[in-house]
Amino acid sequence: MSSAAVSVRDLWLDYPSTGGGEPTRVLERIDFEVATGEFVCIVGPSGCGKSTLLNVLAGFLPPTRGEVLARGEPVRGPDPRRIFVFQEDGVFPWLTVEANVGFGLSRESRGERERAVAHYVEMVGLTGFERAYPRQLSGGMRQRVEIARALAARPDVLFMDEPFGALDYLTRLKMRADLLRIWAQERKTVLFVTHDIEEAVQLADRVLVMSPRPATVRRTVEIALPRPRELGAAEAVRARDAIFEGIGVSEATGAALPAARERRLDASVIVIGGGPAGSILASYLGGAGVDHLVLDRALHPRPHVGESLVCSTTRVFEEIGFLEQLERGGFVRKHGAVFTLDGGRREVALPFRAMPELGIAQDHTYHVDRARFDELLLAHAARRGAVIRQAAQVERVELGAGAPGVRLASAEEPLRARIVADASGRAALLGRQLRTRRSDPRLNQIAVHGWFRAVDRGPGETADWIHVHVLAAPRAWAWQIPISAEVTSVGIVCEGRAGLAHDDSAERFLSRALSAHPLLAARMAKAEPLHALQVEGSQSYFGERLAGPGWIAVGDAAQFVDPVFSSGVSVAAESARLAAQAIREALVEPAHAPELFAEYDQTVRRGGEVWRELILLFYRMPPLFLGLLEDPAARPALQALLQGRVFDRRDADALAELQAHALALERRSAPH
Amino acid sequence: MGPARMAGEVSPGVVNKLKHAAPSLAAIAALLAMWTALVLASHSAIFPTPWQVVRGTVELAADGSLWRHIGASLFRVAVGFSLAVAFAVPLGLWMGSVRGAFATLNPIFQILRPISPIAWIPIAILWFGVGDASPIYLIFISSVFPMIVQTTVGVHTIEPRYLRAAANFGVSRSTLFRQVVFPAVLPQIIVGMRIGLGVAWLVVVAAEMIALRSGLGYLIIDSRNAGNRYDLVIAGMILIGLIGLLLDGGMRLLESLESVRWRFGDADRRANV
Repeated sequence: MSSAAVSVRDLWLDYPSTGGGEPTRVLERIDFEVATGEFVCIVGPSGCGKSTLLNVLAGFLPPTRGEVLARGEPVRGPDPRRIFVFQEDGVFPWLTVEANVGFGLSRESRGERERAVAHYVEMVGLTGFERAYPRQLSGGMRQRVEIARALAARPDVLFMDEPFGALDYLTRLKMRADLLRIWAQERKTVLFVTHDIEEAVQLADRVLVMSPRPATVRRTVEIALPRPRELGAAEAVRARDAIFEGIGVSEATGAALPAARERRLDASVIVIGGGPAGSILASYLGGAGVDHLVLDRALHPRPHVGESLVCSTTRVFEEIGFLEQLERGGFVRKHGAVFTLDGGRREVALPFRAMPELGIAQDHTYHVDRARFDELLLAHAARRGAVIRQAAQVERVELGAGAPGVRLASAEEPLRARIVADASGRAALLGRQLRTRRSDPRLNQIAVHGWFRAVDRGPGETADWIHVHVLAAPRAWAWQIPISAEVTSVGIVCEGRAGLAHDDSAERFLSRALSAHPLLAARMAKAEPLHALQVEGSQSYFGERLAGPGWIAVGDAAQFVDPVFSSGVSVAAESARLAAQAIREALVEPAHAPELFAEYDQTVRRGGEVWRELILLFYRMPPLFLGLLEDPAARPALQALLQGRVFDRRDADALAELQAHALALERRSAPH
Repeated sequence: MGPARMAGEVSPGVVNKLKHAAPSLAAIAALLAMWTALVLASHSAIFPTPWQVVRGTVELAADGSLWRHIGASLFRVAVGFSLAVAFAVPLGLWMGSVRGAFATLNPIFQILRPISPIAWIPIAILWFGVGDASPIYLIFISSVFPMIVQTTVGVHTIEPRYLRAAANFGVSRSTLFRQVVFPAVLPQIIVGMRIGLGVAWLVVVAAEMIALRSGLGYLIIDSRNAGNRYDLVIAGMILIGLIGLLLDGGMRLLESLESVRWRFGDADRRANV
């Protein structure tokens, strides 16, 4: 005898054919058990038969083979101990809220019925609407009536068939939260069918992933996370990826694929650009089974650029399976950052810490030679399934009705896809084309930099950390980034207009800067340049819109912020991660694409804004900013932000807190 | 008493209603004018002008015979129609819920339904004589079929999710019937009643033209036979039209009942069909 609330044994279901041919197989070899009080979600591609399965479990449809047991007892038909909640208006429109909720209680005494009705009406938050008719309520409220009606019958099991599917996005979010609250109170066993993977991740103890028809349970994903759940938490992301992998996005969009072929799409997604943002996005898409094409301009060999990473990127590299290569790739490990002030007389160290709340166990990241790093990353994307087209010079993206097209210099016909992802880097292809790219006048810097041998990196364990030396001129600083055991990248950054004079040379500029800074001068005393110095503008900018119908911008194509905190690759990695999520879900549920892209747009712009505010705070008064790092009240928040945790809603709060601290410090240190 | 209105000032509501009704009032006025002009131009001795019709109506009202005729017609319709409702609704619900009943009876009703009620007149006279029973029978026979059909269709088209929900909660048969089936079908029943009453009112006039001594139908035939009183013929016709309109309006009020509003929506928002 099984004690499970519901157990399904070798369940098969065929629909008889209408024309006298072979019956259609809908469900095949389904086996699972649901424990009492468990919340199980059933997800699967549209039309796979998950609703049908729920109908069989509830006893509305007899299986062709196999059996369903409820508490060990065979299910022979519908039963008030197991109530089914419908997707759309299952409440009786001719009965008031009260009468609907009390519907299943006609055998109980009047007093008991009234008590139960009042209790459950209150639980779903409809007190005051008892006498209303369903037509006078909103869709969400009607769904609450139905849930109250189900609960009032005091069932052991609730079968919910996409109960929030017909509601708008915000109502859906609210209903989910309320359902969890009610479930925590009542601890019913719930079997919940949904096509919304995010919903499943938020709700379920366990997710059953169904295959396309004939449906069977292809995969089971356990989610051991306390509720309410942050969808950005590492475990939630893992669960979501596991579900996506189980469905296989190309299968989830199966119904739409033939149409795609008719319209001769070249891929579901075209990624313009093979830099970090493009490669990371491609790696995510490849992992999710989305067919995609990467158009790489292939400017190899790239110039000598070194870049330091921040810790938050570790999560992304781990998710796309790149971390091990990075670890083995011989890149210099970066355990922290050192800021120096007052010509080097004062030093503030920021050691990196693991970020367990993001699922990052590693306390170091890397300094990378971008040429090699980019190549490795692109090769990794190719291994994950990216089709890469080299030397593809994109002229413009055709947006409008229908599938967007990418026009190449070398081809007559544009390449077509469902979604075009702009990862074109600072060229900001779409930002320029759509005129959404806005320069930030507050941050207009230039950099003079190069690679050197025999740079003295300073003493002790911080030698291989990144060094940011604050210079005397306003908004001027120098970086010192180890590229390998011998090679160090050094660059001077200053305000554009105060920088190079017309007749100046980069070399003279550098020597001037060094002579004004005793520590830098000492460190560079024996330095030999490996090549001619480079001059580069580093004007910060941001896109007013980072996504729209059929397009999405990632990495530097979306926004670029001053490099003082090594945020470049972090923005690329985080935006690619979020874009991949939005794209995957938009392909499964095209109707939700506008919401998903709007959410992406907001999240990434907010993250960029946090970086910009942080940098402006630094530039306003570097000693003050670094003072915050020594202030125990401000340090944890600042440390997390500087490690790249800027894409959470909470981070904006952390920033506001910091700004308040800075203001307080500023007042205290004011001369009078 | 409120402050006295200035001369010519009317409330906006009245103005709106007037605006709404203005075209049809104008059309009626034009029709009456044309009618008057044609009668005067043709120098007809028999066909009355509208004014003569009004005078005839007043005359009938004055001697009380008008009310007697209207009352007689309404009485026959009320009895025949009530019997039809009492018969058709339970039968329709039964036929809708029991497959065998539907299979057995539906073909019979489908054959009987297209027969014009007028065709039943000889049989009605044979069975029920020339008293009130004959027209009542004709009214019954004419309104019962549309109501049976509507009720049956109503049961067949109940949203399956309502029936499934009811089955899920395991309620008794009587609760199922009282709280689910009947309320779900009620809007269709009301539609059936509206159609049935419309047909009944058509039929009563025809029935009364035969061998009866009262009713609006009798009034029309009698006025012609007793000295070509076409003013009274036309008065009878207009009364039949107006009363029919009122009856239909009464049935439409049923559609705004709280328990069927879910189906018909809010009556005040509906077009005036």
